[in-house]
Amino acid sequence: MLEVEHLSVSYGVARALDDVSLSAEEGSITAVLGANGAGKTTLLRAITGLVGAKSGSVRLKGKELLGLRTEEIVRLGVAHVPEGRGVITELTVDENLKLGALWRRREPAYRHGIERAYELFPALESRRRRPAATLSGGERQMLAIGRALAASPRLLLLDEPSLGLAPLVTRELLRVVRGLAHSDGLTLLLVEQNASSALSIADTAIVLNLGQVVVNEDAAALSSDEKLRHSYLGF
Amino acid sequence: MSVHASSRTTRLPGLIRLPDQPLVRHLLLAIVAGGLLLWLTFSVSAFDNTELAEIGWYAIAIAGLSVLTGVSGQISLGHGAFVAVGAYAAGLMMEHFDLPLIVPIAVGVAVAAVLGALVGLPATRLRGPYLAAVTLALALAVQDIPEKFSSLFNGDEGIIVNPATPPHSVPPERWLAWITLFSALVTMVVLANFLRSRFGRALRAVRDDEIAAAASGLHPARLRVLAFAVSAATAGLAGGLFALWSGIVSPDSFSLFLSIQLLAGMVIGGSGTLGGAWWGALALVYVPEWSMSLSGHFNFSSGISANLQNAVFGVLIIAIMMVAPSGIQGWLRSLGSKLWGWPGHRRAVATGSTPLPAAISSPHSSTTSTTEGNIP
Amino acid sequence: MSLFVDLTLNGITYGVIYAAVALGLVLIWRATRILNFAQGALATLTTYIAVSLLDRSINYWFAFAAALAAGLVVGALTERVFIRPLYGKPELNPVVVSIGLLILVESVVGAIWGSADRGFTPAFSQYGVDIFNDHLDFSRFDIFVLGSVLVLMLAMLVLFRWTSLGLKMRAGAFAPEVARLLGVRVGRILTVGWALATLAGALAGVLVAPLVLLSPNMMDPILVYGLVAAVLGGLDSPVGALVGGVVTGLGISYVGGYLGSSMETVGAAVLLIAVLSVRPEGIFSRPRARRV
Repeated sequence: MLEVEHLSVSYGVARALDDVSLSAEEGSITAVLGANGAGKTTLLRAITGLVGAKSGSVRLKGKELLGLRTEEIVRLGVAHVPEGRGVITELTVDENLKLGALWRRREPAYRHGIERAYELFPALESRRRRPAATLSGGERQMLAIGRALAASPRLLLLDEPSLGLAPLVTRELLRVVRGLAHSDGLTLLLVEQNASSALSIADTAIVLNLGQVVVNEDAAALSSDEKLRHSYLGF
Repeated sequence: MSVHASSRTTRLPGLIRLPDQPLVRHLLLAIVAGGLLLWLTFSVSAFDNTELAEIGWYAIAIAGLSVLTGVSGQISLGHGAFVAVGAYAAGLMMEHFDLPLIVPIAVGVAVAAVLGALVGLPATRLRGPYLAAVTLALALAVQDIPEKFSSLFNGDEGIIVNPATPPHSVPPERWLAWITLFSALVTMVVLANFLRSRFGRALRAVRDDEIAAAASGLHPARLRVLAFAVSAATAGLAGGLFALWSGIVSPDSFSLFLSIQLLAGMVIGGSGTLGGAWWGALALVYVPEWSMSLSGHFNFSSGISANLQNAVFGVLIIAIMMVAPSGIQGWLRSLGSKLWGWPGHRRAVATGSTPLPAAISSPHSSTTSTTEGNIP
Repeated sequence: MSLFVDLTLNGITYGVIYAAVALGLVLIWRATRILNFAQGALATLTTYIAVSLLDRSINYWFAFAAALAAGLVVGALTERVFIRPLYGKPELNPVVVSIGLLILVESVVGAIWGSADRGFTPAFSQYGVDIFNDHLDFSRFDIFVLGSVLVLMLAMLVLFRWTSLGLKMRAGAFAPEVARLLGVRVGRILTVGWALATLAGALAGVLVAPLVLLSPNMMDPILVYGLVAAVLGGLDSPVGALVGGVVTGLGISYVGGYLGSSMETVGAAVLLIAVLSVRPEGIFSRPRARRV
């Protein structure tokens, strides 16, 4: 589904990503781990075109994404919940969700996508007409993910969903997300600093350090390899 | 930069060396430029000398605006108002008193500076578009004041200014050119040193990041007022010289259009640079002439030719912004660095390579993220 | 007393025209953080288009509609041709370009249609109403002015609150990057925004032309007062545009009526400074915290 090959991204003279390659199969969950500043967020931003790449290639089911505008990449079936969630607080919950699915408005599945989000996250249903500013952290995360799912994407990029959330909430969120991967064939790229929870649902794990891929392993294998875990993930 | 222990010079292409000491360097440049201009005033016609004088006071006004906008980051759409103030103050002095020329001019400068500081005071709390709106409103208001207090300012008719009496055997136009160009060079040297001084650095620091500057012990509010005062003072000087040059001071000369012209000149020449002020002045004086001769050549009707000159300005502004936002001076600098490896900018003067500051608008980054921010 | 009433009605009439200009400025500001100084000049252009139709004996309503339609087209073109190439560059560049456009458009208008003042006769009587023994300086046309600006405001409200386009525009203004991540074609949305803003300006132009005499520089003071109104109301607030407009209109009207018309500009400046001293970002501005 997703092929990233030799991707390099620079901010001025600083190399944020250096020759990064990975591939994700349809319906798989890939955890992208590493310390702060390792380049995890940059990787996601490069895939959705928010940041330009110096070299390399990113292909979604064979289609090259590099060089396309963000909104066009999204319209190819990619959804990206950015760091900080990106909930638009001036809009209501319903408006946020609608916005997520708007580009599919002409399709019959449009309304279905929005209702689906409410099914997945019932807590949002009761707050439909409230401004998103009134939501708690966990609810905003649900909204952000629900919004991303409203367009029934094929590839979902999640940037640090657990940030600021209680562990229980995080676990529930990830459980829902994993369910989607299995039921809908949704391919997931999950960036996390909280490595253990990410590893618990992931199929593959990638560890970035200073912009380079240092580990690319089966998630279960990485979990059980204590040495590797210690040196790169700190636990 | 040369590494020789003995020399304190900067190497420019090949042969020319300039001293490192800023004041000396500026004075040297001014003297050389002055010599060239002096020679010019002897070789050209009386009409051309009048135009040289016009270039002189335009350059002074634009330089002042550049300090305010380019270096201090505060947009002013009412710069013409300070020119008017200087012109009226100097004009009134010249009408009522018989004093050596320097006195009325100095009065013009002083009055404009005081008013500039007064305007700068409320301006300290205002950002970008809000400041632009206030300066615009003030510019419009200033135009109506002479009419309201017509006894003092002689209303629409304006004040007649007698031309300066030149010393024996010097034609009046040449004398006028000397006065104006000399004042312009003095202004440039003063401004260049000002910008090089800690005040200049402080202004730039405040422009780039006000809160950080304040945290470092600077006083942004006071510096802003200072910038306004300095810029208004130069405009006042330009105004006084304008009064001499034009012979009459009336509200018509100071419409909103003057402020826009000065802004245009600054943009075309290169905002934030002193060299740019000269380019801008050249443009303001010669573009209308050139377009006039163009209309004459093609025999345009008077309706079209009157509008052609403004249209050309409009096109110039747009073109420069889209193609060379740092203006002519900035473009020359980048050309120089490409061809001869000049340093990106000489820190003597404000970095002309910075296009107009982003400080005009409340930058997105300064607002609380209305979406969830990146605050963990 | 009747002077006060006249001045008040007069102030409201002009005030809503300033509000329309202000609305255009606010729309563009919200979406792009650009102050569009060409707003007035573009409105002059569309008004001249209308007047040249009137000259050909085309009826007023058609000319009126044509001006509004021209506003949409001109606004969209301006964004595409002059503003779009400047995204990503320093923020002051598009502002200066708009000043250049102001100069360019006004001189083109002068070249095509001549610089002389001319009249613009609307479909409504501009003669005031006679009540009892008093003549009230408030005509059918003035009512039309009030009505059309109110319709404009309502239409904008409906557009923004209840349509998908409006939702996209709001998202694009509040959070452009997030909007892109949701598939919103932000570029097109901005073009639409400019088109609508210029439509508002075009309306202001046709409404003010019968009141002040049409000339290439007609909108210069109107633009300044519209800017004052927008700033007074808080540049982020469409409601502020309306309130700011009426306040500005009333203020100028009273100053002009009681202190003489040459004091109007002074009055506007004083009003602006006074309000901004208390609320540096306008009446309806939201306090903004700064992350260091």
